Amino acid sequence: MSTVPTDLTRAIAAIRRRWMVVVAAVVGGLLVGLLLGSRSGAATYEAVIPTPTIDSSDLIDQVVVVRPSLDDLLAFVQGPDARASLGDQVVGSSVTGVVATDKSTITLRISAPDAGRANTAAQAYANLTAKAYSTQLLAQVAQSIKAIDDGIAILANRPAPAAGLAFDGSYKYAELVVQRRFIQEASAALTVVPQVRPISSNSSPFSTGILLAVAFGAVALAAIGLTATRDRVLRYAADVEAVPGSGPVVAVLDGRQLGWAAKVMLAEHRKGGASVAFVPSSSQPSEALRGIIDSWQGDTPVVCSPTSVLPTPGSSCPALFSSSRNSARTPRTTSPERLGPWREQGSRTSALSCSRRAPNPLWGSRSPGRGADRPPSAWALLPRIRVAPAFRAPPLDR
Amino acid sequence: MTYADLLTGALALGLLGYLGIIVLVYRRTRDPGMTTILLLASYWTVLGAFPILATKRLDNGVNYTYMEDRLFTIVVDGAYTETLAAYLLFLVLTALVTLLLSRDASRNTPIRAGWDRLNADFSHVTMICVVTAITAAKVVIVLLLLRASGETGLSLYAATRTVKGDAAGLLRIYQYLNILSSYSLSAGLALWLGYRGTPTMRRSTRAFVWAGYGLLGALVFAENALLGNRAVPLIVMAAAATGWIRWGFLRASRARRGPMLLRFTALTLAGLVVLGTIGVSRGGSLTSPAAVAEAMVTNVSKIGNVVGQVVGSSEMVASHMSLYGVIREENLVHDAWSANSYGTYADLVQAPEDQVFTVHYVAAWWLRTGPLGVILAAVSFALALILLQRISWRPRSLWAASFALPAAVLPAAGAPVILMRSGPEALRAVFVELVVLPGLVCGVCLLAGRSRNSRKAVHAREPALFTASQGELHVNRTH
Repeated sequence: MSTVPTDLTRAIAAIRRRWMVVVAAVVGGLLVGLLLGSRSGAATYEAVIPTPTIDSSDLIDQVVVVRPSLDDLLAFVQGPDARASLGDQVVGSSVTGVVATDKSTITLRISAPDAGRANTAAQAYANLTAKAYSTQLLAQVAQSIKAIDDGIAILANRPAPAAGLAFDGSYKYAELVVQRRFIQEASAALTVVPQVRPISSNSSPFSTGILLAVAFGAVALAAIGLTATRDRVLRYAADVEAVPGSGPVVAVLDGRQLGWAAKVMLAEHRKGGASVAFVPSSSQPSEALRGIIDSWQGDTPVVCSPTSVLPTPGSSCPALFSSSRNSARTPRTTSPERLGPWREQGSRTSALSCSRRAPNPLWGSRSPGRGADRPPSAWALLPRIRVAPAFRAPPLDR
Repeated sequence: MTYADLLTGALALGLLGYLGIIVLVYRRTRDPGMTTILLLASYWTVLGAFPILATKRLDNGVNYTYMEDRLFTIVVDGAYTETLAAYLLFLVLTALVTLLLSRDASRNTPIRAGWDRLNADFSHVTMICVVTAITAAKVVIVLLLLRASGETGLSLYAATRTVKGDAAGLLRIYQYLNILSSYSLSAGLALWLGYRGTPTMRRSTRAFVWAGYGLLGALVFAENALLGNRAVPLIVMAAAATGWIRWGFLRASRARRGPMLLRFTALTLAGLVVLGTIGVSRGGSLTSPAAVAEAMVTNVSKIGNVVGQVVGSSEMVASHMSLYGVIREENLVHDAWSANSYGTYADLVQAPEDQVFTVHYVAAWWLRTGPLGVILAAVSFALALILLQRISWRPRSLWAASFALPAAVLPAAGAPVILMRSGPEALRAVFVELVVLPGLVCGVCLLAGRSRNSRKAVHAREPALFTASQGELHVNRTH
């Protein structure tokens, strides 16, 4: 007995037969990826806007910080007012931003359909943010200076201090003056220069091609492999041996137009001495089968076919079957019952359902010595005979 | 259609092909464990891409996860596409190598007899006794760890995450004891759920085994929930499920499979709720067992939180994004002999010390060898799976059976949990933690079972001391 091919053997053989499909899928995926990847030129730019503060501490170490609210600023930049004020520069772009945990920077990320527009939009958003921040900072500086000036004025205009307290007042006065000068000088030197850089300038057609090539290739491999394990075509000697029915054969031929495979099969049977008879589609298969069994004379293979396809031979041969449109399904459940009498006689039997494209054995019974009188080569002459589920190996018992 | 949509479609297509190849692997090996490994591998590899791509489909600058704020921002660009292609290639290659080199179940049908004999020889009572003893030692260590974490002020989860500080020695011992007890227990439990013992087992023994496995299993869940550890419960549940499927479900008749599948689905959902509850009830200010327990009770009652945790977990994103973090570095220096992928990656992306994250197996290989790492990762991962399959293939001798049992069920979730979140240095852990250590305990159980069986056999062969007939007792002279 020949070795039974495994699922892997079948899958690899199928891939070897259809390697062109896999190659075509990979190449197709690559090309589609290159095409779509080159069209998708989306780009993202990042703008980092520093947010310096003016910190000064007075003589009792109380820190005075001049800093606008960064969260409010970020909300403004991401809002519709900012977008409206920037106009065409930011059309088609999107912006998101985050404030650094130490509040030292605002980072904006601007995406647009292409690198040029992303760059333009990033520059516009960065400048707007920097300008808004500077404006708010200087406004706060002005407020701080005004507050200091008020303090200086109060100190200058207040009545002469009592003896022993003059030192404190003049000290505070000096402190305010120094603080005012520091804030003025710091604010004058303050510059907010944003930095813009691309963090993603394109979508890389090549890597898109690779991704799609792998995806298409995987699908092709899986499809071919899975199809191969469910293949009904007799490809190995073991497949032929697995088909009981090298002796008497009952065929159920489905469809009005038989394909070449069915015709070849029938011709082969006739060459081998089979008798072929035809039963109109309106006949009841079970009755016809009973008639065959009653008149059956021995080892003569039995094949049947719809009358529309082959000429009717002599009426003496046993035959059957239906050519109704639903017969492809019907025998799957009823054939064992119908063929039971034959099995009881120890015959090798099988039922073949010939679809339009290929004959399809649906049911059969094994008996000792099957295949012995009919070498696989003879079956190999019957191309595209498909092995039905009933003939597949039983579920593994682990 | 945006570029992110294109990538989503390509990824979905590739996963479809990958699933098809997994079906082929299953048809060849008939091994639910191996199928689970391949399926779970995709969770840590590419599933994280879908929410990322969905978030960034219209606006590339939006961050999907807080980890982007802590580590680096993912931008849907060429580097990210390269990342997805590398991951997909890794998955497909792994499945193909596994398909080609794994053993074919259809050529080895007598395997069932080997497992039947292993089941007959296995002493579940011994397993329960051994695990109880280990658990007792473990509980003491857990109490010491809880006291130590109370002094640090860290949450129980954070305090037991990394082996450092004064409690490092204790923590390491605890980890090994946890592996020894939890994984051994799940191997025994898997066999028990698959076979439900032997037909000759006494009813009282059967009840004892059910109670023992139930109590010890509950203890495993409680202890790991307390420390915020999801990996061990996941491995235990997957191992038990694999054993049940392998020896119970697949052997059942079609009529019985329907109700079994229903129960299995319900238990799987319950398992997900447990994992989600653990995930959402850890860290933060949960510094005491009472606080963790209270949080768990609260979260279970708000099932929405749990579902949100399961669906939106950063688990699948953390390892997924690591390869992007590596590829986007333009001046990457490869260190082929790096002993610690986690540390190398943390240095590369300048990860904050307080951020817990993971590095994917492919990223770890890429750090060492560049793009060639994708192939090396796939081949080494597949070879590990094949080796595990061979260990679990035919449990004939006592020695082989001891390691075959854990190798058959524990890697189902264990192998992806360990490997997909670490580098090649974790290959050793796969075999030590999932096969060798539980195998030693299983060996003891098999030895005890065989000894018991041989005593029974001798007893059965020996003529009885007394025989009774017609109401009288006769002494047998042969003694």
